[in-house]
Amino acid sequence: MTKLLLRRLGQGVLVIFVLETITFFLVRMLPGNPFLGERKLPRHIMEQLNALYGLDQSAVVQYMNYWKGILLHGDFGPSLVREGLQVSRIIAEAFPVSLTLGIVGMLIAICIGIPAGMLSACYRNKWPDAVLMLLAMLGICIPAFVIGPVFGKTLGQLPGLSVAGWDSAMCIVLPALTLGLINAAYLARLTRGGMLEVLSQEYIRTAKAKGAGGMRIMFVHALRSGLLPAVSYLGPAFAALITGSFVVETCFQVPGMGLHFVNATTDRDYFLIQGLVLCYGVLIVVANLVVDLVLIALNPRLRAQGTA
Amino acid sequence: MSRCRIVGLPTRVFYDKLGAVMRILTVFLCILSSFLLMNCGDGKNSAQSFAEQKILLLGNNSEPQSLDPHKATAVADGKIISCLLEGMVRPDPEQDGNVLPGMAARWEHNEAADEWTFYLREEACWSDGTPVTAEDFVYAYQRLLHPQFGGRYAEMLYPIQGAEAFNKGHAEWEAVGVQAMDAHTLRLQLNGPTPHLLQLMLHFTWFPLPRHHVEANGGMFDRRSHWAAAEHWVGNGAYIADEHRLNNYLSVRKNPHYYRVAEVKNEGIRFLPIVNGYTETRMYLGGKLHISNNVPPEMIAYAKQEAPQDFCREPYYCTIFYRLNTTRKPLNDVRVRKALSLAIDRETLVSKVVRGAGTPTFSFTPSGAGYKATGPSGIAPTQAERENEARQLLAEAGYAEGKGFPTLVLMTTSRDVQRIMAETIQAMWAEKLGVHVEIRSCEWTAYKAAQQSMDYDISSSSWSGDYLDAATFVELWRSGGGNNCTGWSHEDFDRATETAATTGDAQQRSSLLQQAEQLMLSCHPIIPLYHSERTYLRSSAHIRGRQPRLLDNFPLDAIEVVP
Amino acid sequence: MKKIQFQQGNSLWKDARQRLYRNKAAMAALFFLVFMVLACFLLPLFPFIENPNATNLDNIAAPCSWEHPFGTDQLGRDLLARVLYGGRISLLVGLVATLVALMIGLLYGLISGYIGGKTDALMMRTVDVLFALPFIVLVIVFSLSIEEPSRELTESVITWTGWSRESVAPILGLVPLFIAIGALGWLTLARIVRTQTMEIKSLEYVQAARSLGLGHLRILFKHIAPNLLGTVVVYTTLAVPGIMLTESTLSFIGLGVKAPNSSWGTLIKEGADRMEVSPELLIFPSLFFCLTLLALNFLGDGLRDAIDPKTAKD
Repeated sequence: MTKLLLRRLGQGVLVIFVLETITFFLVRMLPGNPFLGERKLPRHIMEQLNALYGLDQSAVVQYMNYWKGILLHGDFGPSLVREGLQVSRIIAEAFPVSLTLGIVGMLIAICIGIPAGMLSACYRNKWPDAVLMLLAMLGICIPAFVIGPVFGKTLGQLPGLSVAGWDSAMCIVLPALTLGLINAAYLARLTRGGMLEVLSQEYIRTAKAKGAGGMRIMFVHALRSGLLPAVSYLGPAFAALITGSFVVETCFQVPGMGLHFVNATTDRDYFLIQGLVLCYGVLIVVANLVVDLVLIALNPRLRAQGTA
Repeated sequence: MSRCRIVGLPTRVFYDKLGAVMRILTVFLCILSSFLLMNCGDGKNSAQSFAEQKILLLGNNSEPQSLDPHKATAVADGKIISCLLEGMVRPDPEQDGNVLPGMAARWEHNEAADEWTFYLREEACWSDGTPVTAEDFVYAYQRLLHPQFGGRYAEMLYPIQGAEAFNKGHAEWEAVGVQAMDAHTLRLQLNGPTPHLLQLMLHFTWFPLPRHHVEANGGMFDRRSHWAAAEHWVGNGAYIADEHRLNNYLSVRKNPHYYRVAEVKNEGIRFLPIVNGYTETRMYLGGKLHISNNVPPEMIAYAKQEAPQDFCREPYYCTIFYRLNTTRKPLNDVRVRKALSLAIDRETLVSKVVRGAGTPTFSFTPSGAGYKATGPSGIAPTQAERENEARQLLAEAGYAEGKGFPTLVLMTTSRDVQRIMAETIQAMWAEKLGVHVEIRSCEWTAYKAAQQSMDYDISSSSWSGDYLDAATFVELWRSGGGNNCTGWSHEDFDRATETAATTGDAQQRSSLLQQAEQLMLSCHPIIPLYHSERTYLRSSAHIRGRQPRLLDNFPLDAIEVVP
Repeated sequence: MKKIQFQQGNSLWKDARQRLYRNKAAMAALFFLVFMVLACFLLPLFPFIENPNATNLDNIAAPCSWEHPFGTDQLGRDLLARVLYGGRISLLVGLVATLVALMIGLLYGLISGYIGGKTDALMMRTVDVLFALPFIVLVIVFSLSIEEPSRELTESVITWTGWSRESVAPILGLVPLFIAIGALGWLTLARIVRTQTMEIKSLEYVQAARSLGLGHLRILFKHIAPNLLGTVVVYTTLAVPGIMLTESTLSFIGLGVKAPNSSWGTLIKEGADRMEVSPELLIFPSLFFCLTLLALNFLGDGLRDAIDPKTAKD
């Protein structure tokens, strides 16, 4: 187990390294530069700014300096657009917001999605199944940029709830609900599919044929395997959720990471994009690792093999 | 069916499991709802409760780049900085275009208006108690112009003698016409007569810096300096920066050291960076703001219906136009450019697409500041006549009925209004001229980069004035000017604007600029569409004393929030 | 040997078809989808459907009427026509881009899960990298690099076939979009398929097949892949809405459908911004979009039941 963990962590570091390298060169292929403003900068000022931030050097030198900054000084660089702010501070401010929102949203999604999927599988092709799956499909089809404003207009008018903004604890309700319901819909569908798949497996049938005594264990087992698709979905979805969603953050004016992600890209804030991708990458690696560990825990055969 | 039994039998067990999950869910929902109840409070919305604390909630379009006036460029930043710092003069809350003494108690200039002396008020001090001196102004101007610093908006100070040469590294600071005669006297030597200097000085690039504070935080050239961070702000304006939450809000509070502190109406202001106009309008209507920044055209009818008392529309010093790349075929032919311009039905465009929030125009510079917007001569009075002329011109250029006309690319940003406008104009050209253009919508920086490197055919553009004077518009079209981006240039135009820049007489200057603009418009390097108007919401219940401003620079300390 | 195999296959699919025919919900969904495809592709050929791009600024945001059954949009264009034409693009995107993503994801996941070990680790970490790469950055870079080749392709198709630009350009303009979505849409599917493959690989019957000396390819495609179809179909029906909506996001940064043409995604996006003033603009495109996807979903479920070899013996 420890060996597996160590190996995966080693791979994770490699993933992050490759990710950062690709991103580094990719963002420099984008047209324009961070100093393009509403008004065109005189050439000499553009050159001064480039020199100040070391952007006049060759890409390889810049790349070396970037890693040097991180590894030697723990410095993720400055924001090129919001000068005077460090990338680390921007992320430190936005991440807790997205994290809170993501966790609450995910809890809503799990609490609604998985029971709904199981219920649906139990009542397969009966009316509860039809109703639940209809709702789930609606949740999947209606995009966040529609659900968000609709919630804002309806629920947002309730006393205590706020239509948008981030100034009181209540502000989390609507964005979390939006994120939660969308993900709940996916989870419900995946759980239902997984459960049905398992319930038709031979080993379940065999166990069933052997008598009712093993039913309970069998069902527990079915649930375990049935959750596999949902769990593999959950990992990356969770990582994506806690790094913020641009649409939901725009709809509800939430100061999370999603806004920074898009704005940093359209502003060409090189170091900030780099920092955000790093953050996201770490989360993806961790989430996928956790998912794989959960999968091993859920599946005894994989546990025996010791691989995932 | 056996399947039913498979599912049927363990259902009981399943409910056990489900029960556990449901219990967790119930607990979770309980916590959530108790949370809800706890926060229900007195049922007041933000607008009410903040009004009681005399704090203004202001929608401010975008997250500020910086509070350092030498790093900021955006209009949103300017609004905040104008609260935090004050220059020699300040805008008059009573009358647009008028200035009142700010840091300077009085000033004088020589007859030619190229040497100005400002006498600072003795009582003025920074928010930490240090007096404001003429040296603070000298320090600020030196910093913005210094080649080593790389100020983005350094051009704003170019009217000062020697400033441009110093900024480009060709001269020493000593040669620049900024001089502190003593602690309270500042003398400026200008390149030429500049009667509108005081208008320029309302812009934040002309504000002083707290020299002692900047020096204590890394010095003049440190671009990573934290001197302008909200947490330890030192300024001389009506307000002090208080708290800054990225993408959430920036709050300022009353500056107790401000010399007019008794006249400052509110305890504080919260600037909310809400980029999306739809979200902003919904937030306003949900009681989260006192003044919003922008109501998008499609929301105008709704906003009017929901808050008829609060909806405001006022002229803005801004023109919406299309740039044409005059270096490309067939746009290098003035007849083609004119035909494209004439075929656009501006009245319909403004009334239907922008929903009336603008004035249709054939000229570039908006009226205001003693300048009258007049289109080029010889524009037919009715749209039908213009369209006939357009077809004729196109035929003369060899593209009768649009035959053989290449498919040009019309570049816009992904902003909704711009895209809809492009679609309308695309349809107008196709219908009236038989000319087909393709719309390319780009994200902002790609659009900007393509425009500035002239990698486009037609580009949807806008320009808003930095200061209240026609020069901020007309001078755009000088040859080689950084923001020209059309490839058009004309010697006579350059000469006329240069003469205007060194003409002291306001009347004469204005007519020179007028002539220059007429020349430019007759060559059609751009298609002016309309002078835009600002549409926004302002709480009639909570806000007193706000008046329209062409530059949207009404002094925020003169706005009163009432509960 | 060959003959037996053929017969078996035939009967399996025949069974599946029969099961599908018996499934009322799935058949209704199938008819609806066929109807929708026909409506989007054939109805606009009739003269009573207006030109979707013909603006009429004297009649903007009009409510429903006989002349304009769905009303008109903010430029006075007939919404029904726009929804139908938009359907062409959305259905095409949904079909092609999903198929591309499906093929890549299925193969990738199967191979990764089946081989396991170092190859699996390498392949999955590659997925991790691709997953974490900033999508917009990729798309902007891609759309710029594809712009020139894409224009050349359009030009050469026009000169070769002699078709009019208006009919060719909107469809060919989607090719970069198919590539962009297809190239990145398969990641989650690959992960899911790989997990399931590993799960099935460890089942007794696969081990039995292996000990009987069956070839890897045969095991992979004959014994493992069919067992995955259920999950794959379910996941695919889940992914289609996302893919159709991604198209609308990409259209706003210049990749995908070009104005004045529309797709369901862009219509919904534009409608969402105007929902307070003219809700029709949101409701009708959303209705078409949701109904189509619901039908697709029912059909997917039906297919899943039909092809699942295990259900067959029930």
